[in-house]
Amino acid sequence: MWGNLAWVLWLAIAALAPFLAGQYLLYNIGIVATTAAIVSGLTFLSGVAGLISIAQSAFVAIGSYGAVLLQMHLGIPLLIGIPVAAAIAGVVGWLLGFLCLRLDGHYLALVTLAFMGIVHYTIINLDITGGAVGLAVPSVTLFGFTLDSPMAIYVMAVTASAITLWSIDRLIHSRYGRMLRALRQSDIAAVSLGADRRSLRTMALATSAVAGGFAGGFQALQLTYLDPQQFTIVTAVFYIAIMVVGGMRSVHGAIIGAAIFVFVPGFLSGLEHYMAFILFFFVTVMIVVMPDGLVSIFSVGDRLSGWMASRHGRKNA
Amino acid sequence: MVSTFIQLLLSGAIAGSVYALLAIGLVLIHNGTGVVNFGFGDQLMVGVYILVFAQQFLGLALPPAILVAVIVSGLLGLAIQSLVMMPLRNRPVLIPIVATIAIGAALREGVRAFMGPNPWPVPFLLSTSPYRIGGISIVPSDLAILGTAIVIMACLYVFFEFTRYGQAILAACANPTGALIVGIPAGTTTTGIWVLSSMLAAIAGIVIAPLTTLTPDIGLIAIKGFAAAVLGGFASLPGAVVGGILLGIIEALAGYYISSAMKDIVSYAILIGVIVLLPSGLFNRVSVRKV
Repeated sequence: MWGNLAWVLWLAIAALAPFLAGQYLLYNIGIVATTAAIVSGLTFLSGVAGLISIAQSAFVAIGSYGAVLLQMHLGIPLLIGIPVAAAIAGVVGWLLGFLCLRLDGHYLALVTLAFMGIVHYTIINLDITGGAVGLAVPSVTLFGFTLDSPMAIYVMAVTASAITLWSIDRLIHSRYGRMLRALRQSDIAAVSLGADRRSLRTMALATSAVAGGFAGGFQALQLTYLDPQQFTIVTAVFYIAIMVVGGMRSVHGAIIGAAIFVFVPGFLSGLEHYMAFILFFFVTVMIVVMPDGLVSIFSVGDRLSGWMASRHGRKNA
Repeated sequence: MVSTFIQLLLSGAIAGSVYALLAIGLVLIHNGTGVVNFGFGDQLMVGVYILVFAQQFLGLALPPAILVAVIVSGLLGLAIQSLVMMPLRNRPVLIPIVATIAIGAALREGVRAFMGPNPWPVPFLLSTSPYRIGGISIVPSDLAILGTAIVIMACLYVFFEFTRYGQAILAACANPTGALIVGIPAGTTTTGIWVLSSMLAAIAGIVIAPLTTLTPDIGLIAIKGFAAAVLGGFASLPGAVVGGILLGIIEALAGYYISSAMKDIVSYAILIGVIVLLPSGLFNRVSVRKV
């Protein structure tokens, strides 16, 4: 019930923002949307499949650099290049998972950490990626129109994010998501019921990479410039923190977390030096006192109605 | 030619001895609690900053400053264990691992906020003017690194082999349930592991920091500890030592014979390569988990 209400609320905010919000707020709402979509990939990987990736920022890099390079060197339009680059990110994620997911989950954290480092060094050291200087993101052209107004970028980014978030939400509630949840809760039981642990987990990593690459490509349109410093272990850790704060069981957690990380620093602008420290301290406290994230405040209602339903059922039985 | 090679082996082994300390700290926590501590590098960073703080702001001499840094780092480990890891001990392992990532980031950003993003000077332990012995130059401050690492490892060996407490920790690492049954208190050994490992982080940081630059991002050096630990199989302390020294030597050789940019990538590549090809490290046979 809360899930559907939340969807209505998010869509209402996204649809009304262009009419009510100023340019600065509109930009930030757009950033919240793409960040949430990037993080929703992690939600699927960690919250559903129980695995940790410190490489979400690397997949974002593959999506955004990939799309820009496809446009610059092969002339592929960005709106086609972004899904292509997201697919490449997915293949890379699949390969990474295929190579190391026959092992225990921690190894994935270590491998993704190393992969993130390699991607960052590669971006800095290649000429084609602009090295440490970075790359300017060209504007999108569609049927001869150049879509570079803030409004056009907002509409594209929010649409792409909504597609990503909705797809991840559907996947969480699909048979595939349920099998991954079963694996997380008891892999021995799930495997004995016929779940293929390695291929399911590999697909989960590939899914999260596609989400990161796709939403990352659209975030590149918003940022208009690719700076290698956006794609480090530090940013990958930020994505994990966003997931934890909002709650890692649903995409709504990713949206709430992203909104906090985008808007709170603006409200506390006098403390900007201490902002990152305050946020991470808050994340640590959250993990201890509210490990299901801020979203779990709302699920109190669900738990209550579940409890009432079970009482009701017992009365009838 | 030969002397260059020996020089590279020596400098590799010196860096490697520090990686070995890092790997020991990581393997201890992993064996004792099942958690890979992703905040280890940031704990190392905090240790060095405490040293700098004690010297520059409290005006302490180097030896007492080192002592303060190591003790405060141990207390930090105690705080992490009792305030965060202990309450999370019965949660799925994902949660404590994410907690270590968050603690690490909080420490890093905290130091960046309070001490600034710019590098601080860290004193060398001994003089940096080299002696030449048969075409090989030997730097006292490098020898101090190697010496510190060897002394620490010897102390750890004595502690684990010959003291009751050390034996209890090893037992709790090898078989937590079995250790509980014979009356080893799990909480105490886990706390001991966290304190010990955090002190090791500070020591490793203090010896390696003069060779690099001390910024809040120095904790990234923990990658080398992860690579060393994985080389050694992430399970045994001797494996961690050999893995560390091996990593140091590979890094020095790759940096000289291939390219200096390789030096940074090599530990990332080893981390992935070893996990993919030799998941139980160089020395162990594969152990298959049975139902």
